[in-house]
Amino acid sequence: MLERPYTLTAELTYRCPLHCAYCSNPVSYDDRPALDTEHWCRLFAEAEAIGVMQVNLTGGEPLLRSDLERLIGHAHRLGLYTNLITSGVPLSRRRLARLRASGLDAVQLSLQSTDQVLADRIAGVVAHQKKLAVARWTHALRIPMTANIVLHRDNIEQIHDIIALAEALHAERLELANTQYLGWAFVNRHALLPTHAQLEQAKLIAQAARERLRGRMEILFVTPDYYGGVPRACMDGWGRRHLVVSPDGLVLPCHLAHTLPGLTFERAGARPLLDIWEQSEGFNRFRGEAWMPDTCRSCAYRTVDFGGCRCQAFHVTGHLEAVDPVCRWSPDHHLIQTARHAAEQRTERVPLWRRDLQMVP
Amino acid sequence: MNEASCPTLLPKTRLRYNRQRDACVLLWPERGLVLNRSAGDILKLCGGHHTLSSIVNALSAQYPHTKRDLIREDVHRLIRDLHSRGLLTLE
Repeated sequence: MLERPYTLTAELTYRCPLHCAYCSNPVSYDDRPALDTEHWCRLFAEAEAIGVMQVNLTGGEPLLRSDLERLIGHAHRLGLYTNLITSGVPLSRRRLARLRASGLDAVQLSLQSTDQVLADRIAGVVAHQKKLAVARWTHALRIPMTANIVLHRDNIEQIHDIIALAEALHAERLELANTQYLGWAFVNRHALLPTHAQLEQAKLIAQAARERLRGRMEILFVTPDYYGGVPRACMDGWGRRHLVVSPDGLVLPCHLAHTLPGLTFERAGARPLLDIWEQSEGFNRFRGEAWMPDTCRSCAYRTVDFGGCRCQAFHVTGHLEAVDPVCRWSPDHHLIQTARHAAEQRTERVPLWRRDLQMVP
Repeated sequence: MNEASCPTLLPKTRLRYNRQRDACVLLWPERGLVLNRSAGDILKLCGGHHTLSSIVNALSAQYPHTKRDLIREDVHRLIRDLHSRGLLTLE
């Protein structure tokens, strides 16, 4: 039976002061007008009414919206758990206090590195010191904080220092998120992929820290599927638990679903949200097992990974229904092995591509 | 953890009733647990004002047909689990 969604990820804007080379936003998109305050508020109410309990306010950079206080206040009054996912860059202490007073439950702050020069190089702007200040304000205002750092070749060896920094900043949670090679990260995959040795070392350090800090700081180490041999259960399965709404109001099962060709998604408000969730063509396309290739349909893990990541399958193999190529049983798995092999061999620095399409050496 | 410990849910958590699922849910950043009835009843008492033994007493009164030893075991298991997940403290 189809469950009701648990989470709404509200992508309030694609605009962002950072230009991270691993940004998971679409590489290109139609620049349609963003939903206004009233439409977002109506959507939150509809989402709550069909069972959503959490709303992640993200982007882009959600702080670039001047109505964020109102949106948080509205979500809070509906009883939704509100989580602000931010770079911190446009924030002032006064505004953070206002957001808290509006009902903000938690902040997830992105960090790029422990080293200022590297952090700012990854972000594409000078941001690191500001982020540290935001972390201190968050703690001072007693807002629970998750520190999130996307791990890749250039920062993964700092993991020990990253954990120490998160501790010093009083983060309650630390997400050590190995890059998922989608969006801009796929464009920059060759530059970002770590070596197997880097990864194994990082995993050991994270495990040890998780034991040491158990009960004080929750440490999540998001395993990179390129090295796991098994797909991850992307979004906990297509259209099973999560709703994502893009800045212009498309209701999606994942934040890149609208980059897949031939799928139809609907706009929030076009018809009742429950109908979109239950009936829209795009949501039903990869639910269940009927769409799966034989390799998946006959596999015991199909109820664990739900067929992996559709965006990855398409962007790597060119086929929507292909087995997720990170799977060791995928006929296309050699494409992943080739990328890994190139990462092992590479010694020179590779330039990065960014959202503003400037190449940064 | 002993009988006099006071389990207290951390500020990042929210315990609330979800009418669509007719269940109590425990929410924290990007995660959540849909609780069965007894787990919900236990966590409602984890605000820092009740010791473990008083929680067991309260649950025994609420579930008079269940053996106290079983209730005690269940309460301890749940509290230990949430403590190891970093969701509550034991003062």
